Amino acid sequence: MTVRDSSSIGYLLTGPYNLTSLSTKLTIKSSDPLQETTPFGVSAAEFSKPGVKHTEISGHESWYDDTYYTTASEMVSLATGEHVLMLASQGNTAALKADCTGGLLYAAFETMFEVGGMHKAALELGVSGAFDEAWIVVPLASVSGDGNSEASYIDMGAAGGGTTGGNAYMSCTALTLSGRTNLIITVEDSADHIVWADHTVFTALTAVGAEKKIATDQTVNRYLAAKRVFTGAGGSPTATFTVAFKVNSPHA
Amino acid sequence: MSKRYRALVGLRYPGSPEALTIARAEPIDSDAYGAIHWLRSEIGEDVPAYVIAGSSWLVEQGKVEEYHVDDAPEKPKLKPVAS
Repeated sequence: MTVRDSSSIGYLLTGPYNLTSLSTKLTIKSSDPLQETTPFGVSAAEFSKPGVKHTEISGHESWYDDTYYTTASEMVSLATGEHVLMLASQGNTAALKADCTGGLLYAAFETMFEVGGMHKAALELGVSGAFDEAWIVVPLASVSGDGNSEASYIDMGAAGGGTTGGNAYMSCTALTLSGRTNLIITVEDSADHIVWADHTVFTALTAVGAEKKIATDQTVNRYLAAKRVFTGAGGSPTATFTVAFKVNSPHA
Repeated sequence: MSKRYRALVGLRYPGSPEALTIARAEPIDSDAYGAIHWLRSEIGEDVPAYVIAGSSWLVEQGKVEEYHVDDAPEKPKLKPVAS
């Protein structure tokens, strides 16, 4: 077992916003609660699982600065739909696990001012559904031009792939198209890390954004990589993004 | 009749049988691996037979589709008749 500390936090992304350098405290609580189902005529209580998972994020504290204020304001305006949250709790490195969810529904923030103290802010996040412990396929980093991570693929092991699809997460925190039309990010898989096939294609980006793609009933091979293609020609396009993938029911 | 395979997803693979052999033999950080020329098939484009032979999972998992091409020569076209 590897014990990790706050310096291991690789990134905290809510939608396309990077809150890593501003956050100081975060608690994620996931549960699959029991419901009492005791009928008449028995002497011991009985319980069943309704199978509805709950996740809460609370205690989020941050330093307040103008950047944070802008980001938080943007996040609150995000709260009309479901959004991606990605937390690299082990580090910003390929093949480590990140906590990801596509069901960020609600965000609220408050700021605290006190005499003799730095301004602080707190952010409250509401999440629908379960968290996925996803493999980081591509760590959050700035890249330029077209390319792929096939030479630095991740190996999920012989049992790591699956046959029932999975959830792909992507967050792009900075994008300069430099005259190109859009950026298309694709998760690739391979059985031998030599021949690669497109697996999941994210929606083309024309601005910063984040997305969860659900791949159902598909084979996921043990080796994963991601590629980026800036549609069009010319310019010097750059992007900062990360990709993570959770395999449904890995091979036993 | 000849048997061919077309890609059902985008595929990237070493550009020759020799390159495929090198890719299997060399570590990915070696110069020989880095010098490999790669090709790409978009959806619907043919995939060379050596790629199919080298990565049979492409067929097993439906990344490519087998189809047949009629080898018979094209029928001669009729000359237009002046009216």
